[in-house]
Amino acid sequence: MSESYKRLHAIGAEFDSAYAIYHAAEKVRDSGYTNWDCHTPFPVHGMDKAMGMRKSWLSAFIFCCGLTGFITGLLLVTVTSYGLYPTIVNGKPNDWSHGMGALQFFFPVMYELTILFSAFGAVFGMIIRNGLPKFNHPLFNWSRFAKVTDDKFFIIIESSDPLFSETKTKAFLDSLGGKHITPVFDHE
Amino acid sequence: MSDHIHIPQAEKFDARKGAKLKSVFVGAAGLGLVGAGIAFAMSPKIGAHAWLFAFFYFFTLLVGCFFWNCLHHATDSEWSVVVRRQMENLAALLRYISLAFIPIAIICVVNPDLLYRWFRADPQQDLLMLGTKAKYLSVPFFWVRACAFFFLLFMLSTVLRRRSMAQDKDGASSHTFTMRKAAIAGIPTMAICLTFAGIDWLKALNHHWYSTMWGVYLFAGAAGSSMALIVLTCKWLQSHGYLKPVNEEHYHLMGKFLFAFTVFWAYIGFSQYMLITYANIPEETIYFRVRNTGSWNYLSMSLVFGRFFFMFVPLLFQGLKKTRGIIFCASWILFMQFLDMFIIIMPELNPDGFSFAALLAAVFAWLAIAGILGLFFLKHLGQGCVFPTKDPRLAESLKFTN
Repeated sequence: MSESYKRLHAIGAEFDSAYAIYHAAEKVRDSGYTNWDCHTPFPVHGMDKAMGMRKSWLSAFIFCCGLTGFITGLLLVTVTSYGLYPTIVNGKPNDWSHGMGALQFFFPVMYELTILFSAFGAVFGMIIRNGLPKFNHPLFNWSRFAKVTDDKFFIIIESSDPLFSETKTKAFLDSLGGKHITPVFDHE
Repeated sequence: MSDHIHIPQAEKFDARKGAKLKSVFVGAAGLGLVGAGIAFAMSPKIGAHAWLFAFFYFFTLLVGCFFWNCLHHATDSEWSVVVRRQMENLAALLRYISLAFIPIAIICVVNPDLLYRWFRADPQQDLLMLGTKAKYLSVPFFWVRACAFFFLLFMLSTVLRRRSMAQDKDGASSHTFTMRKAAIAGIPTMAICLTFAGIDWLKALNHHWYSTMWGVYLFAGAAGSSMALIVLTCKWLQSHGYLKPVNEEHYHLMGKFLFAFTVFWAYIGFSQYMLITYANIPEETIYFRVRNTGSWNYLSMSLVFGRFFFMFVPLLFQGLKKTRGIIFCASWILFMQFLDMFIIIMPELNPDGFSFAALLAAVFAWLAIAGILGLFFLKHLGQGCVFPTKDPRLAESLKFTN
């Protein structure tokens, strides 16, 4: 390793098949590690269960965004058309005194803003949750890791994990049947 | 991706376990027939509308089940294999729904003024009958269409069920390909039959009225409520110890369909409302003018809030779809379909406002057809396995995850 690689980021292990990494992931999950991840060339069905991942909180975030969009739309149409500048269009009522007024004609506005805000919440929430955008990732310092886009499967246990110990984690990954167990360093 | 998928043994429905439900169906059919008969004797007009209401309620449910059955084959789905037999059992009831149409057919022959005034309208007198509508609303063509709807739906739903049951015996994959062809023919057939049946039997109650959203509006209600019926059927079978392989993942997916068609129903219903109210053409607005006045308005608003807003939020949650909560949602959606059909049909009988006599007659007619179709359903259930045992995709369906 050259001098510029200093901080130990993680220890990685390579697996040959989806089957192997699936069962290895179950053992990592059961051993109590928390800061670790699996990298595969394609989505492996049931991997979230094997990794013990719980439901993402993104849906709650999207719900809040959608609700914000709905309320924004409601205020946008009622404050302008009922309050600030009441306009009569096609003889339809323009205030709250006739039940809802002509609120039903403003539904498209509320509906579209609900969708727009939810979609923004989904896309940007996902990007933030994944820590993107990123210019580089320490794993790219490991040359074998390029195989993840081809036919190899990787389990990475990060050094920030409370249970992490360079020797014990190495031995543990070895016991799972991992190959090419390698410490991955980060640029300082 | 566990490797050991345990393929369960074929399950046959034990008729004794359905005995309780069978007696309920017999009671409902008996009570309903007597009640609907009395209603018809007291007021033929109320009786005729009530029977039409109940007939079309179940017609939409069964056509919806037929749609889900076709969609399974046309999209080559894996998840729905375990629940498909129940879709088939329900959709194949379309062969008996023509029995429920017989009273309506008799009314149309003997005294069509009870339901459809256009039967005896004189094109020379009724100005709005002139033009293109008179060609469509002609008596012989009405009968040809009615026969065509029943025949096509009967043929295709029977082919799908018979082939699927044959596969249980020999396990040949050729059945899958035949069913796929029938299903791809079935989806446009279903769309055309439901649209024109809706025009002939519901929209023609007021033959002056126009709506270009009519067919798709009925379809939105039919697809959502029939998925609710499929969910309840599966839950009922599970409570009797059948269909063990159907797990929370399948219910989660069916719950997603309930949610999707809750939104779709609202979208289409609102589009119809919006187009008509904005254009403000008298022969179109009459429909909403009647339904948004007086007591009908309370029911219409209840439908908007009950069918859409009240179902929208709970069905967002995964937890509800995966647990017993889905039973409540499915029952509620079936109840809202009742309200939807009631609001479509009954204001043509009583434009001035809601009447309890019409509701009572509608409930009796509903019980009658529900009981009769329920008995035929139990018969279908006993004829084959509870799920397609030798379907090539059964293993994929069992290990399905969302």
